[in-house]
Amino acid sequence: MSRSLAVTVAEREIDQTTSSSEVISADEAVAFAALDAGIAYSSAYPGTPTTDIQETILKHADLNQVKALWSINEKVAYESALAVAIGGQRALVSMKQVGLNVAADAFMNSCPAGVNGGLVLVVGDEPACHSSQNKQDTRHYRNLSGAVLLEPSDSQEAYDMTREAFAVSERFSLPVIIRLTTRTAYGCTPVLRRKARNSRPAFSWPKQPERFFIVPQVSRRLFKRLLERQVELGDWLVKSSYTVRRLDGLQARYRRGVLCTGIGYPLAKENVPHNWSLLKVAGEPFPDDLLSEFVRQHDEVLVLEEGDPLLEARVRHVSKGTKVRGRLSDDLTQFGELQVREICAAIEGTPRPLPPPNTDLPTRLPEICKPCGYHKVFAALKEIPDIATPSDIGCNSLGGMPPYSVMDGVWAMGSSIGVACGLAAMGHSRVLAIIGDSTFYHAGLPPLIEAVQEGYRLTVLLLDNGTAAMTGGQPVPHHFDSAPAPLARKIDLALLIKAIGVRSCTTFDPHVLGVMGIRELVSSSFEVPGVKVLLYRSQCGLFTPGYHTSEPFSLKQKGG
Amino acid sequence: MKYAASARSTSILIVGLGGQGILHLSKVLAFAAQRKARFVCRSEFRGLSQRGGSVQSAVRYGQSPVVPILDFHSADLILSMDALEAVRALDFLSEDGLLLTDSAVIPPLHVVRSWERQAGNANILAGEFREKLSDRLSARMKTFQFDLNGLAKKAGHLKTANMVLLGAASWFIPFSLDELHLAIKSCVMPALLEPNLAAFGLGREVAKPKCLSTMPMEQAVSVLTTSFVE
Repeated sequence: MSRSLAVTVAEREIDQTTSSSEVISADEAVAFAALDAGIAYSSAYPGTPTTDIQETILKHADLNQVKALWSINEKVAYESALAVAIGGQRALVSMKQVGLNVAADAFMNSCPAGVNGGLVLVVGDEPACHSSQNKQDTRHYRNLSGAVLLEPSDSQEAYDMTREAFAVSERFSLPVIIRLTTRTAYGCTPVLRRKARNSRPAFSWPKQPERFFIVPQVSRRLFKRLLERQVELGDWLVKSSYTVRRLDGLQARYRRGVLCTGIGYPLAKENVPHNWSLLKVAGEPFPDDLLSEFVRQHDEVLVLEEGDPLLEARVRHVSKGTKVRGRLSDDLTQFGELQVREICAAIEGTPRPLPPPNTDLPTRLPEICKPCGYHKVFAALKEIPDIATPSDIGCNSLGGMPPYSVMDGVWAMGSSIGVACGLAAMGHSRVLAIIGDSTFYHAGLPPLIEAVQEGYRLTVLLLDNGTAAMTGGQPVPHHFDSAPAPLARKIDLALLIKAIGVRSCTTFDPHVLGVMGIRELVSSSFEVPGVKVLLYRSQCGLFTPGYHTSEPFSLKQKGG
Repeated sequence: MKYAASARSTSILIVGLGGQGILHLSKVLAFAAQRKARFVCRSEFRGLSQRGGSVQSAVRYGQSPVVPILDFHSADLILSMDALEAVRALDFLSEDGLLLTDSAVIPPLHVVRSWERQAGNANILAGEFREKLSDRLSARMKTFQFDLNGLAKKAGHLKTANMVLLGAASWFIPFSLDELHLAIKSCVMPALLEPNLAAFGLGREVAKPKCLSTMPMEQAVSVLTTSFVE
C-alpha cells in the first residue's frame, strides 16, 4: 500500500479545570467558528436541529460586520452564499437535512466549478426524526457531489472543523459540508475559541465563463478534475488531526476494534474498552485502503456511525473474514440514533436489549397554543364534509393531529398547493390546500402560478400569522421588526396574490369570523370555479406580540 | 442494570416543560461541575417545547470521558419540575438513583379536554390524576416531592422554582454552597440574583428534614460523590 498509514494522533483533551472553555452546543460552536474565521456572509433557512447556528450569528453579526439573514428558502440561501464565495469572501450557509433537498440543484452544480473564498455548508441530520419528516443522511449528498464532508464528534471539534473548513474550501476550491446530527448539534461540551482572523480579502467577482458557465463541454472537463481531487481530499483527511487511529487491539489474542465517526467517537471513548483499537473517520471522502486495512487487521470490528450504515456497508464489503458488527448485522438498531445500551451489549456479546415498554402515561404531543386562531380554523374544517386537504410544513400541520385531525397528508415544503393541482387536474371539486405564510414564500408560489395558469378549481387556505412560528419566530417577508436595510421593503402579500391572477382573495380574521363563519367561507369557496385564496390574518401571539393585522383587505374579482 | 462504565462519572437528568427553566438549571449545574470534574457535558432535548412538549437536559461529568447522551436506567439524580414528567423519567433513573420533583403537574391539553368531556367538574379528575402520579413516585425508594411553586412564590419570584429545586438537590450533589452560589451568580442576570438565591436557600432548608430523615446522609451522598474519588 503506497499511502503512509502511520497516522496516530494523540487525543485532544482539554483540561477543563484550568481552561476558560465554555460548555456550548455544536450549533453555537459552528457559529462562533464561522465568525472567528472571518465570514462576510451567513444565510440560512430555519429548521431543527440547525436553527441555533443562524440565531447565534445574528446576535453577533453587526459587531463582526457580517451580512446575516434568514433566506426565503434553502436554495436561495445556498446560491447567495455561493456568490460571496466565488467572489473570494468566506460564507456560511446552514439548513436542516431536508433543506438540502431544496438547495440540492444549486449545491450539486456548484461543486465542479467550485469557489474561491471558503464556502461552508452546515447540514443537521435527524436520524431519529425528532422534528423532521425523514432521517436522510447527508453523507449521500457528499457522495453524489464530490464535495468534502467533515463530521464533528463534539462542540470543540465542531469549532475546529468549521474554522479549518474555510481554509480547506479555499485550498481545494470546493464547498465543505459540516454534518451535524441531532445529538452533536444539541450536545453541549467545552469549547475553547481561538484568536479570530482579522484580515478579510476584498470581494472580487471573477469573469471566468470557461469555469463557471457549466455547459456540457465545460462540465465534462470539470468533472474529470473533481474526480482527481477525491484522492487529494482523502489524503488530507487522513493526515488531518481529526482522524484518530490507535491500534491497541492488535496486542490481544482476539483482536477487536471500533470504527467510528461523529457522535460515535465520544460514545466509543466512554464505552469501548481500552484494549480495543480505534479508527475515527473524520469525514468523506475517506480512503478505502485505510478502512480495509484497519478491518483486516482485526478479528472483530464494531462500527459506530449515526444515520445510515454507510461505513459499515463499505467495510463489510472488504472484511474478508473479519466479523463486522453494526446496524446491518442487527447488533445495533437499524432505525434511529446510536444507543448506549446496544453498544454495551455489542461489546459484551449479549443480545440487543430492548427499551423499557411504552408507558400508560399521557403523551405530551405538540399542541396548538391556546390563543391561536388555528383552533377556530381546524374546528371549522372538521365540520366540512368531502374535502381533500393536502397540507404543509409548519404549525398548520398540528391540525393533522388530535383533536382536529383534518389534514389528509403533508409531504414537503409548499407541496400542499402542488398536490392540490394534481387533485384539481383529476377533477376533484372540493380541494383545499392549507399552507402557512413562511412556507408559501418558500415553495408555495410556483404551484400557485401553475394552478392559476391551468385554471384549476381549488381553494388555498393561506394562514398568515406573521412569522415562521414552528421554528421559533423567524421573520417573513411581509413582516419584520426592523428594516434590515434602508431600501428593504415589506412584501404586500395580498397584492402579490392578486398579481398572480387568482380569482378571489378574501382576507379574514379567525377571531372575528368565528368557527361558523370560517366554515361558511370555506364551503362557499368550492362553489366558485378557479383558484381562490382565503387569507387568514391573525398574529402568532408567541413570537410576534407587536404584529398587527394589516388593513382589512378583500379582493373580489369577477371574471378573469 | 446501569449501562456504560459510568463508575467514574455522574449523570443528572433535569426534566419539565418549556418555560420552567430546565435548560437554565442544567447550565448552572454544568457551570459548577466544570470547575471540579475533568470532563463535563450537557444535552438538550427541547423538540417542540413551545407547543406544550417536554424539555429534558442531562448534565454528565466525571474523571473519564462522558458523552452528552443518557440511556435508560443511567441517571444518578433526576430533578423534575413536573410530576407527570417525573414519572415519565423514572425509566432513566438508575437502580439506586435519587429523584426530586415538584408535586404539581401541568396536565397536557388533550387530557384536560377529555376530563371536561367526562365530568362537569374537571378538577376532581385532575385531583385523582395527581394522586396516581404521587403514588407511583412514592412507590419507589428515594423519590421526594416538593411544592416548588409555593416556595418560589415565597422567595419573591415564581420563575425561581428551578432554583428551589437546585437548593433541595444541593444536599446530594458534591458542590459546596460557595460553588453553587458562584454558579447561580454566573448564570443569572444581576437583577434576578436576589430572588434566585432566596429560592435556592428555601429549597435547601425544606429538603433537609424531608429527605435526610428518611435516608442516612452517607447513603444519599454516596450516590453522587464517587466521581471525584481518583
